[in-house]
Amino acid sequence: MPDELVRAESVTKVFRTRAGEVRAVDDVSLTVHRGETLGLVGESGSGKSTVARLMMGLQPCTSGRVVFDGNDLGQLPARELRVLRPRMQMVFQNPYGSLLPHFSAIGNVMEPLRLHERGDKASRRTRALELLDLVGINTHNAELYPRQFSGGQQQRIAIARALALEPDLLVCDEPTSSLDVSIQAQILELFTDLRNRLGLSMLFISHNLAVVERLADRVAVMNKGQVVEESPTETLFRAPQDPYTRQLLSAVLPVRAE
Amino acid sequence: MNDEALLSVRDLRTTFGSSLTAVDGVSFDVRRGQALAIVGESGSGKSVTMRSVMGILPRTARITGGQAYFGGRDLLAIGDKELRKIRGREIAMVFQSAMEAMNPTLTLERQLTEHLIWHGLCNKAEARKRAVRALGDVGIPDPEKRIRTYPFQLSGGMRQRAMIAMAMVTEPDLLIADEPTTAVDVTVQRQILDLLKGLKDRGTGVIMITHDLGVARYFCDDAVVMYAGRVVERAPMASLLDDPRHPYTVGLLGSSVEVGGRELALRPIPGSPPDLSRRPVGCAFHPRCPRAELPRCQTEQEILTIGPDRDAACWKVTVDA
Amino acid sequence: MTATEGISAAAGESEQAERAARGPLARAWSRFRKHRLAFGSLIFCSLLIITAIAAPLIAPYGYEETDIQHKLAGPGSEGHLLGTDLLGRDILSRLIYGLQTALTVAFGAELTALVLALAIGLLAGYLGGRVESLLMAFTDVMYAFPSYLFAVVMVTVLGRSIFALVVAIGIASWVTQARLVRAQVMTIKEREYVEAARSMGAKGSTIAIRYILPNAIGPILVTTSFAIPAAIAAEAGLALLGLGVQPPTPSWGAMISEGSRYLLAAPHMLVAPAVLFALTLLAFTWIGDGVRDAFDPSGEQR
Repeated sequence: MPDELVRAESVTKVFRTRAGEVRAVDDVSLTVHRGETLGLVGESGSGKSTVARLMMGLQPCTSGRVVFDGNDLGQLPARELRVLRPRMQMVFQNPYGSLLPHFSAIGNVMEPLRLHERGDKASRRTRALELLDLVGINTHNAELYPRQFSGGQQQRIAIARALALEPDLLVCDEPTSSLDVSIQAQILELFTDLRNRLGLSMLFISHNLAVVERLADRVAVMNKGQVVEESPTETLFRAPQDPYTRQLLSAVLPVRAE
Repeated sequence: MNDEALLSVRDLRTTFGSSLTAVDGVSFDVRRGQALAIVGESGSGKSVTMRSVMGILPRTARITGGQAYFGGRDLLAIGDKELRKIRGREIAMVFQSAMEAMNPTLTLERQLTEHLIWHGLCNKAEARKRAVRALGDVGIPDPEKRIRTYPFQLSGGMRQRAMIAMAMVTEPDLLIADEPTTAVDVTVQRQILDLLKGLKDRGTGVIMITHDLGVARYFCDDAVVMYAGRVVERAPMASLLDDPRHPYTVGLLGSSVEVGGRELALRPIPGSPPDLSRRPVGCAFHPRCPRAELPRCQTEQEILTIGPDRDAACWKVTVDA
Repeated sequence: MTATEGISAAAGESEQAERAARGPLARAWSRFRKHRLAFGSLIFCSLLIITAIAAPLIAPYGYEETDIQHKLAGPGSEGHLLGTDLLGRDILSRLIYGLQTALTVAFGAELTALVLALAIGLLAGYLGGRVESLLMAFTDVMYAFPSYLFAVVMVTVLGRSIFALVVAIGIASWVTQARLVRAQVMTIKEREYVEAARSMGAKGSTIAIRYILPNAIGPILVTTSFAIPAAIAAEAGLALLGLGVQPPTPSWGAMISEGSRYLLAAPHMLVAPAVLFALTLLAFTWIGDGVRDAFDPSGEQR
């Protein structure tokens, strides 16, 4: 395996709610290596989305630590964490919700470049147009606002925005779950293509086993805040070890005749 | 009209506002003890179809044509008062989210017995007994105690079960299920489908609206595929998935990812479904269709019989066959 | 994605190219324009504002100028379109200058309220925690204080000037606004795009001002537009109590109060200011209606 990019070391996240303490993530250790896609599967409430936010340093860990390319995210002051941000970007489940509604498509893609003062306005525009083109958005529509696009196109714009700063790590939290089947397939193709072309490292989170199987090199399965199994994709799907993984796999309903 | 059909929908047309036709000439039959899948993506009109039949359309929508025969009556013609007598008793509904179907301020008992009492099917004590039995049937542990709880006190999976119990308690002839498992986890999905199967075995006809082809295959006997408000293909479930004919159905299958299908190339449909206010002329699918031939595909296409129990709305299909 | 798929994906959206790009504000404006009553009111109010600004040019006389020969002249009498008052001052001119007073106080007060409300609401809503508890406790105390009484106290302390009225009415009405701003900010803070902005590395101040504020502004504008007529009415109300601007500076409230005393002898002294006052309040309220409909969240859906 090539060198590691980000590593979670026995991270735990406890949320305090009115009903008491909830251990959303319980002693999870994961590593994403450079150029690799790590799939993270689990059902709702398994803690997979919280893991994404912990690994992005968007929330502090209750215990344990996340190390991104040698930097302990929990120890970094806010300013230095912001400097590190361009290297890790995120794609969310709900593309409309994650785009700025009062910015046009190109405005959304230019925004991270503006925040990190990359180039001047003209060069940012040029770059944003390239990115929109890369993800398959007709650049004639660059000035339209997010709500004027369909869900699939919105997700493409969100992906273009996440790629704008040329991140090393792309964290995707259920990026295709709110999309229709035919659009999901387009976006999966886009991810495959981008990964091959840009050599991205990804943490790809989904409840959909088939989607993860298609994209991931390795897969970790989460249940009730813990990682119950982690292996290379092929091994995991061919010979699942953990009873929970087996249960998940047996619940899948096939579309095509076996 | 099909004699053995429980529900026969003919040429249903539903319009929003002045000109947006969301459902455009849809016909299908549901048989007793059988399940029909209405398959389609968002905006295909599958939910509007169901809501039209049930008379629960939003105020901006209007049914502008067609019939829906159920037990000798046309549901579209009998009026709201009559329809209310049928709804909840002879026809029940299950939704994607129990939250939208259940009243958060009433206990399960009130909600489960309400229809029984209101429709005069039995007295209060008997209704309670039947409600407890229904909750037990859907696998809710300790139903005697749970019947006194409110919906929000249940977990998502349990709530979905309670909603199914609510639909089952009047022993309806027809059940309409709108994406009943989309909001639940895979491990729960199978259990819920098995529950619904029990209902089907007792002779209830089911319409299942779904975008999930795996769910459709597991549960349904027949299928209609909808695109942009019209039926594009109609076939027995297994034949549809093993041998899809309409280019849109072929595209849907080419877009489905499946466990164990890693090596199978994805063949996504390019573009996105049309905005119904700017529906393409002729076959609405032609701008995305790999087999489209202009100008032939820009003319209106009737649905054609292409085999026993099979229809498709594409002239190319018959040419090939 | 292969080249061909890129092209066909683009083909699917080519029809969009005909659509104009329209941001949230542009959409709100086009909805507002379709609201005829509101749009008409906007034109009427714009005329009022222009009149107020250009008062010295438009008014036939100064507001203090007396025409001793024509005291209590009726409407339409020579040189005085709307007649004169007890001292022989031209009513039309006094109405126009009174408009100036009313609008200066109303806009000044609501601007003050808006700035205060935005600052406190944004800070409280965005920062949360102890800052929020403190700011909101302060707001609640202010809220509990009867605003009219507060205004009376302020004017008594600061003296009867336009500045005092602006401060008094402004401070009396920022509280409701601040609570609204905070509620808006708290809702929007939970949206995914705020988290997305954090993941892009945006600073808190950027998020609050550049991302949250523009999306919170709709409902805030709505209350502000309803607060303007309320402030006009408040100014008139204080004048009725004798706490308005120092005479001889004209105020509609004072004119109405004076006119009602000579209702039988000189009804024109009451009718003209009362009618204009009512029309102005109505027009501003209708604008508020239009603004509310324009920002109606049900119209914001895709």
